[in-house]
Amino acid sequence: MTELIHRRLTRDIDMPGLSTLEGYRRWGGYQPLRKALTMRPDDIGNAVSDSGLRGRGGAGFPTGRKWSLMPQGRHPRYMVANADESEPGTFKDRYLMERNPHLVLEGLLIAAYAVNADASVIYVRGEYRGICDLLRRTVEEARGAGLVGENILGSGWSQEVIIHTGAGAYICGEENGLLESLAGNRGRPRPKPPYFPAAIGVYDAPTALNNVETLANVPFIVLEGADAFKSVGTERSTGTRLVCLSGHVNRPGVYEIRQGIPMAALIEELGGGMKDGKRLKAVQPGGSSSQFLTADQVKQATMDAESITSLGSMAGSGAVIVIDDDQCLVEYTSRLADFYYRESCGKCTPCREGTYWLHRMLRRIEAGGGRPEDVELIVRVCNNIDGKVLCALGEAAAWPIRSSVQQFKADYVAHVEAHGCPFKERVPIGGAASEAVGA
Amino acid sequence: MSRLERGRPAAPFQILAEADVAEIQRLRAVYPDDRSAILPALWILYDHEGIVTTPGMEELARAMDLPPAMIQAVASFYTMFLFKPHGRYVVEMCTNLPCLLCGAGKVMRRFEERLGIRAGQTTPDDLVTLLEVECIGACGGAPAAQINHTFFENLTKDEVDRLVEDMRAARLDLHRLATGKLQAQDQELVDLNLPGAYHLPLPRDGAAGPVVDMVKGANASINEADKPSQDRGRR
Repeated sequence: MTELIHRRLTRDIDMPGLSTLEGYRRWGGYQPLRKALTMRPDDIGNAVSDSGLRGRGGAGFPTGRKWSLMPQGRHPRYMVANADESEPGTFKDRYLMERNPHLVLEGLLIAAYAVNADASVIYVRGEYRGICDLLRRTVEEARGAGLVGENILGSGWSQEVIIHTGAGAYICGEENGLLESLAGNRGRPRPKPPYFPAAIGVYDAPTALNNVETLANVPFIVLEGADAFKSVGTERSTGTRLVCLSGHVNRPGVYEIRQGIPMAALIEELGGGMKDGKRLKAVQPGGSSSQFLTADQVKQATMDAESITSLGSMAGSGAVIVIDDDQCLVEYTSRLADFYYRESCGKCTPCREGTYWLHRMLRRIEAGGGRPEDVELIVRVCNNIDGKVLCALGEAAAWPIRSSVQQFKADYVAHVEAHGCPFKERVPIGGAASEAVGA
Repeated sequence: MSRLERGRPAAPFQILAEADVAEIQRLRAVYPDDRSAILPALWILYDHEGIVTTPGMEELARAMDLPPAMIQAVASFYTMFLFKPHGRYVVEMCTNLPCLLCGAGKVMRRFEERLGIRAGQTTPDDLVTLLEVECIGACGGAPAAQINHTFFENLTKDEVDRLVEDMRAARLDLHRLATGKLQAQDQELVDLNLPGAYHLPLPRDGAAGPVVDMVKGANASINEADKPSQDRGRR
């Protein structure tokens, strides 16, 4: 089991008092920041580029490249940590911030130094209000030790860190949605280009925006170097990854894995196998937005972007949702559609109308009112969203729903033919199912 | 602030306390743009009142020197600000995918049975409001809920029974939420103006529930008080 797990970000996670400054320092905390402040900002950026570190939030964009897109010399400029972790199935950032908040802060500070930011913000989702309080205490504790504020560690470099609390909106985890929300607008994404907020971000200023786990990797790269970072993982997916295992497994939770391990080993060995000894039906390997993998595909898959992408899905946010073969995929996909329908901000017509129709059609099929042509209609609606919207939310709805319909078509056909869900006990005539027919 | 009132000397704040106003002024100085302080200021209002009302948002607008519409636009975008009064305890039960797989439907039904209400409703004694919410980031401990913004994970029927008993006996020691009691005149404003207060007779679409959700998420659940909560548990 040791070769599956590689504890880098979570090395000290069980140490007592780690969430305090004293505890964090006892295990070497803030040594990387001290070292970083003696380096040239560009050298840190280069080390991060060399390490091959990719964004851990979902898109997997190379972090060093993202930073290098910021125009030189334009101020003010901002560093923003995306802690609006709202992709269903994802809970690693919460784990990291709750257990090791100083690591997150240190990563943020080093990144801010590397991109020459004038101020930093951690945007935390509203559901994590308790963590906001913890992070505010963490920042104040660090300030008391000269790690935040004016003249950090006597280096002459200053940095302010603001904790900004969201209030419940999935779309604010999307880059542009987050920046709009932070600027005090409704969290609706902006038109593209520009494709990255690097040049025109919050307050139209250059902005670096990175996921919490991404930033937590930066102190290691600064201290140990890019080669040490690359010593774990695959060629394109370097380093470790915090995987959020959930669903029908015996031991769900956050596991820091070596990228490239077999997905089956993750489920069987780390996850303790399928709950109640049932058979695997499907896996969403990168959060609710990722395409489904069938049981056969899971056997071939390894936990890295290359493998998962080649199987037609994506590594996304690292949320692996495991589904057993007693689960009705129509019910599951219908709930998934409800989510995107509720969370669509309504700015782009294909997403606003498309998620609404997907939600209606899937509920209709699950309730027994499905028509044979619905399966094709769902695919068509998905195709009309995909690539025709400003942000990833619409596509995040279209991809898994289209994949569900195409890969588990038998479930849908069975619903249409049986006028109801064959996975549930039959409802007597006159019950809920017959009422729903003809919807 | 109505147009007639604009330009008059500012009336003292009736909803916001002096300390709240001071904190809002401090926040305005923190951000490069006043508007960034709208969300934190709304949290101050919400923590104080337990509800977001038109008069409350107008006071925020006055304190921040911004048009009320700007405050309302932000407030209505998010799901966590409740526009209607709620119980002393707000149970926000996640029914999203990992929780669905782990039996959130059965847990939700148990809450409904034990509380005698449906998701989206408040108990007649104003003690508990039960809401269905989207993923709260507790999928490793699914099924999970938040009560007054505190996590409760690995919920079982027995655990639900215990939680309901503890809430009834006021034993559950949590962050105290203001319940958002409304004055009679505020009630009128809420009924007239706020998206959370619309209660149209909604057309039904088979089992698909109301076709029109006036607002998203938690607020929508309030409007869908009569929507049957389906047991999403597996066979």
